[in-house]
Amino acid sequence: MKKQPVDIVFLLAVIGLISIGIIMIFSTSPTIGLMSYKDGYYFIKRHMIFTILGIIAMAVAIKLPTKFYKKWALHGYILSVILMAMTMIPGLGVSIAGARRWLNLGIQFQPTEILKFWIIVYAGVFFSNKKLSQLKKFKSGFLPAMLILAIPVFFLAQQPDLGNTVLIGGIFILLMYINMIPHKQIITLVGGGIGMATLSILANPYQLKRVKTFLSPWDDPLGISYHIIQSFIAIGSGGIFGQGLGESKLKYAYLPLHYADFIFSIVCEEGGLIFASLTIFLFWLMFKRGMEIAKRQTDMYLQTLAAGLTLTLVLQGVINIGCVIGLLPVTGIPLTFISFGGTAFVVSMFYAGVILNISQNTSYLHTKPEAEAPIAHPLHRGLHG
Amino acid sequence: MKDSSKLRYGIINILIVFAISALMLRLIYLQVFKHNFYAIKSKKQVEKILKIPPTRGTVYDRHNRPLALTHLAYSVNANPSEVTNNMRTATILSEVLGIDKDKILKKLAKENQFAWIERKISEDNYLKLKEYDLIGIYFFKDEIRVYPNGILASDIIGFTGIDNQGLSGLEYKYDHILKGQEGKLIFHGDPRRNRLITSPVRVLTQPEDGQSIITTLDTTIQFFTEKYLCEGAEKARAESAQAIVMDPSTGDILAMADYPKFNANDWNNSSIKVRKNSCISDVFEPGSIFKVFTMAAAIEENLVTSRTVFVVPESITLYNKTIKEAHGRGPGESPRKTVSEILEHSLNVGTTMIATRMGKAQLYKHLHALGFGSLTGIELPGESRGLFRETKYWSGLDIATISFGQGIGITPIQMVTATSIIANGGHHIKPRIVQYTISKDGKTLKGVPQSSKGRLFKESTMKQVRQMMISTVDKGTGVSAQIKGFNVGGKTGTAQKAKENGIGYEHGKYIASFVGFFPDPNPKAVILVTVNAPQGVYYGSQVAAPIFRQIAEELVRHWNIDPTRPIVTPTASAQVD
Repeated sequence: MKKQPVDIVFLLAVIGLISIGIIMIFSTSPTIGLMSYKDGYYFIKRHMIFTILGIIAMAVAIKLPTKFYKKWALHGYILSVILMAMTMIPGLGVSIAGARRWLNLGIQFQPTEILKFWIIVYAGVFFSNKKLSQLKKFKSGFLPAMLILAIPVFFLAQQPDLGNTVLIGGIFILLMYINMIPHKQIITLVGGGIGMATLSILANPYQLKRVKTFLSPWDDPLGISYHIIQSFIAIGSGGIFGQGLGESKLKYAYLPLHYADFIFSIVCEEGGLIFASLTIFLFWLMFKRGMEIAKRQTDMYLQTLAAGLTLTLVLQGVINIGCVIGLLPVTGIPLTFISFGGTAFVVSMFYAGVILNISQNTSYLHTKPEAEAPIAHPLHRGLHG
Repeated sequence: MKDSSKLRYGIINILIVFAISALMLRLIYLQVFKHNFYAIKSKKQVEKILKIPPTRGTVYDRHNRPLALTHLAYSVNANPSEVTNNMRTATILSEVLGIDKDKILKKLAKENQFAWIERKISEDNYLKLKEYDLIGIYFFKDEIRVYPNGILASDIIGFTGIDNQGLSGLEYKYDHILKGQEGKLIFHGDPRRNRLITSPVRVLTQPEDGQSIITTLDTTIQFFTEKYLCEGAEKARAESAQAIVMDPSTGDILAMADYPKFNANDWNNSSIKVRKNSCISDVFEPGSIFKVFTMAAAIEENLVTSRTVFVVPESITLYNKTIKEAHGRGPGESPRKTVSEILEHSLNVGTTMIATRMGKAQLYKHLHALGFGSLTGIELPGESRGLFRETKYWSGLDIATISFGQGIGITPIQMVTATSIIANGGHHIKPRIVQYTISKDGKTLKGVPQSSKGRLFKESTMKQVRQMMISTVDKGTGVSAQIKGFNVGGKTGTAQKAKENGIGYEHGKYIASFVGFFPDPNPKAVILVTVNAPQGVYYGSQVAAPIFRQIAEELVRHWNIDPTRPIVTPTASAQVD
């Protein structure tokens, strides 16, 4: 089947965000590099390496047929669940700041990042294998889908990792929604999810502290709220036009993690509302094009994969920004394509590559007229009728 | 509406647009409406103020010789988290600076960012350490207060603390003048106050160096006064001793010595008792040296002259108390004594008779005018006013005991000031220690005027008293104070030492003293010597008068004074009071 070129607008949005990231790493990291590693280029050098690795990952993803993931979907999903379960094992799971999110198997990594991809792939396989009539039924649609989500999320909640639980849960529910799971079931599920999340927060002092800080940051501006207050100062002092590139004051050890999770605060300080809006616009653009690519796919596997990865990239960004500007409690989710983020950065580039790969697909051009012909799809006709 | 894939994508789109709108609204709130609030917060937290210490002023003697000055020094500190080789670093530091290695190691083992290693090291040591280029060890310029003469006049000059703040003596009293005004720099810094590479440094206020003070002290006089006082006190195995040399016409303190001494450069290794200036803070019963003031009062009131004759019995009973002379009368010695002879031989009974003739009101009036019971107002910290009760609290016996210096507590500075009034012809004077202050470039800024409340005694009265004191030295108890070729006036005193709780006397402990002036006429110096608890001989004439003479003789050489009378051999045997 002949392919069309990759979606250039989506690619430009990605390039735009990566560029903002590179500019910000150049602007913010020399100080912390000098202070922590006696090398002003410490973070820049590494970010460049990750950018190159990201481009390679993207190129691979664009070339690699999406059938490949489909074939390994179940294996990938099961492996993810096993790795998630292994974080519970003392000695293997590594606990940092009260959360057991990391796994040490020679190298240290978050199995959540592996789960994020394979749960979407497996959801795509699952939904594409079901008929619409099956998806509409609780027993054959909602219930098995919920099981796919619930097993890994159980371990995720145990770590605990509320941010990723909400992210993965939210994306999965949106994918269920795209795959025509009935409204009533979705609404019930969202309601239940919010209830569960609330209970989880109340039960966990670590999360409760973050939520308290979120609700009233000015109670303790030099204590637990120091981080978010410094973030506000960075954002607010930027004003409409910003302090100018390289002119951030907060990056001098006032705002911790200003090169990573809190890089958006420095974007706001140096670039002002203008650069902040540009960043948000690029995320919106990425969302819009990504969802359009998904929507036009005739194969529900590809539709689910494209939508799931697009939502992952965009929602990570939205949640990160929401956290640093004080709309959400602080979670450990980096700003897609912009934060200095090592593997997370490379993985995001890979996702973008997969979406671009799918954007090359021209099958919808051929199947469209057929889809309009009722005879070609007796099944659909029957169900819609 | 018909449920379709298109509808569902539309709803998801609405949800995301809603979320993005929330982000935008929040950003507009923070960056537009709260911009000023956060801009000020950012500015405030990044702006750091650095204080620039001014250089402390110098303390000079009356001939502009420095007594206390400020040298450049360096302070060493470590950032323990940066130090890589603790053992090597500690070894080098301890070798160069001579401080305990284990102590340094302990400091370096801590997980913090800052620890003092040593304050105020010399420039030599600084240069030595600098060569090692130790990682995590930092230096910054500091100042060290140096007392070039060490122990000289340390009681008067005082000393400063680690941050160059005056803690005692002139350093304390004149701290506000010496310390100057600190300057302020403003710059942008990180939370640890490190200056940002991009930040300029702006001077908010320049530091104003401290002013210097010119004291009335004369280093040379101070030196030999201390020398002879210490030698005399050590010879007498005394607990302590004081000497003051005053210019009687101005009240200027030329020397003030307090034994035992301490080194101002190393004041930490001396006790508070040693460090305090006993010349102005210690209260003692003066004993016989006080008699001159009783005589002065009686002559001033025209009740007696120096030639008035009293028939003085060997003892007198007053309010059931018998007052006796310290020494028995020689065989065939006449009981008829002139007022001058009463002083020359330091007769308690005779003095009591003069005092009772005068009455307590008049005695009190004159003693009070001479400054007893009040602060002299010398510009030094810790002056005591002594113990001199008003007459309504006097017992019947008090007029007698006070007339010969018991039942009254005075300070050495009060004594020397009152004697100076006699020496200068009756003018009130206020003791002065600082003459004027000068700015760093040598401009005189503020003089301390010599102050006087005017005449207290008639010139003729003072002349008679001086003559009586000269006779005392010529042929009375003060013969050991004689100097060849000069009229020296003086009076000895030996008082039992009062117990510290004020009740009764310490058995066998005396305060031997001598106060005198020379030359006459126009005395140039009044010298008081008090020796506290000498062992062995303890009379003022034996212990204090020789010290007076040594100081006075040295003064003659120092000032190169021409003799005022033919040189005669001093009387061979000294009398005791």
